[in-house]
Amino acid sequence: MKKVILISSISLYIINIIRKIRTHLGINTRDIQKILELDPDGNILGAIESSSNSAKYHDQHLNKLALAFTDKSFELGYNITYTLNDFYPPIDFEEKMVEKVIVKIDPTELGQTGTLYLLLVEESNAFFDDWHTSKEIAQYCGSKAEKNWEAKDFTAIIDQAVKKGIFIRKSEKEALFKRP
Amino acid sequence: MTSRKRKLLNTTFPAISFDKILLFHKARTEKGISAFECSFLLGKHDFFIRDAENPFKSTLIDPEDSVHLSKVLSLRECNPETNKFDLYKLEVEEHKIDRKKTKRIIIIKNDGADLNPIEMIVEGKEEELETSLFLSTYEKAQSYFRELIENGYFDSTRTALEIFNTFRNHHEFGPNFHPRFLIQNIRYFLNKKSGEPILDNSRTNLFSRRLFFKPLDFKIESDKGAISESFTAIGINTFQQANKWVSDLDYNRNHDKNNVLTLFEEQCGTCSTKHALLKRLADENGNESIKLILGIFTMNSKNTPKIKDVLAKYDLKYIPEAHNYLRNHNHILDFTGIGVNETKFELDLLEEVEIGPDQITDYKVQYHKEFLSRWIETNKIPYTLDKLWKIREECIAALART
Repeated sequence: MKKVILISSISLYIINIIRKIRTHLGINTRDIQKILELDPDGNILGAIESSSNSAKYHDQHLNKLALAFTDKSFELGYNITYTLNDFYPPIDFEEKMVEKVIVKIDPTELGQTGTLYLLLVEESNAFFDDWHTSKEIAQYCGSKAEKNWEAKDFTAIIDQAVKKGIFIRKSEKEALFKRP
Repeated sequence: MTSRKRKLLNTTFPAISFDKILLFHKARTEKGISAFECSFLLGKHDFFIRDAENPFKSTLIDPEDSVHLSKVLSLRECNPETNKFDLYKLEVEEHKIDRKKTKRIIIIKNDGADLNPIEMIVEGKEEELETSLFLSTYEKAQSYFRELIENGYFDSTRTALEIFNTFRNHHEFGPNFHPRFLIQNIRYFLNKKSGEPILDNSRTNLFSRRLFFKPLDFKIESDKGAISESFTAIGINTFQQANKWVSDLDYNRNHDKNNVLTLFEEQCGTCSTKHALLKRLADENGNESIKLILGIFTMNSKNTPKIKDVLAKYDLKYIPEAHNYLRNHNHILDFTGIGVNETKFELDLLEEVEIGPDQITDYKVQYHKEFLSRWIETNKIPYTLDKLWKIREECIAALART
């Protein structure tokens, strides 16, 4: 008996655009807690990106996210400066109550970081339950994103993911990776 | 303007929200739109913008109001640049200029912040700012306003921004139209003392924005039918008077729902008999815009607190219940007389269908049961239709208990 949660079209637009951008940048729940200076064990993102909870972002959140997304974007070489306007809908957007439907992100909309993050963390794709080489990971992500990616496109991204703890490396000698 | 009294105060304020307030303040004062006029077009209380511009108040401009205000002020974007500070430390100097006017000089005291003082005048409600926008005249605005009323524009509920946009889209006023005389005219058509109180502003929409509409009314012609005759016989001569009479009647089930005059005889009714009577009255008098609706809504412990224990007992979050009401253009009219808030009720609606006044008995029950059957199946509810109907009856019994 799922109760439909209604939310303003503007708040929902913001939630979904943040979801797209953060996925593109590979930013997860724990990162968001840190960015918003909240309890590391909490999960504000879980509430905000849940279709059964009416939680939403406010401007103080958006300001912090814009600053952090900008830093991350420069770190990844995308070099995009985000402002709150990037999260808001166009001014002529209609104000109405709508069902809180969180968008499903397609890997074809993303780059290498976003695709790996989406499959590995957001969708818990079973491929990452087993050990794989960078080449296999690049090919698998490429097949999902409909792109022709190579192992070298993923070297730095996999290193970052290992540092972040969302990937583990089998050993110093064996460059094989899987979900922890 | 020489200042008489000076007061120095310190406070803190969310930095990005303060920057946003400054952005809107600059835009509205450049266009000569007062704080009251902005609040009015936002559909909020008269001092909303004045409060938002007051660093000692907690009023913030949320994303919904930001987009709405940007529409009012014809802005392309509604946000300032990002801000490295979370909170501003503000030093606020208040100067009393005269009896009605105060000037605030605000300095942001954070390390590295722009130290240039920000000046803001605290405006009175009727303050009129100088403007370069096109004001037109009060009379011309009124003439078009009357045209809109006559053409049925206000048969539907309208926000102030919708009305403003209608004026801006009209060749006589154009996109640079200033809202001053429009707002004065809206207030004129609401004013019971010195205006022509044609409009009603007692409702707000789901975003708490004030709505304006012309309440439906017509004279009841006694020779139009049995119901019209019964109303006029008890001294009720207009549809609005009939609405009030019906709403004031006790809420009780009728013994004979098929008797169209049962409310007059039993002096009570439910949502179905009360609204069927009003629908028949409207039909008799040739009013076609009124529709009788059968709506299925989520009856839960929030909108119906008395059924909380019954729902808990059967582990149900809500139960779909049937309700009758009227619809006129884009809004609901509910004269059940049990305090239903029409705006909030719309949020709980699952489905609605137009019915005839003779469909409030068997058809209503059948429709409701069919809905419940589908609901049981779709939501894997662990009860049969018969059992659920009994639970529903238990809810209704709980409702009747005082």
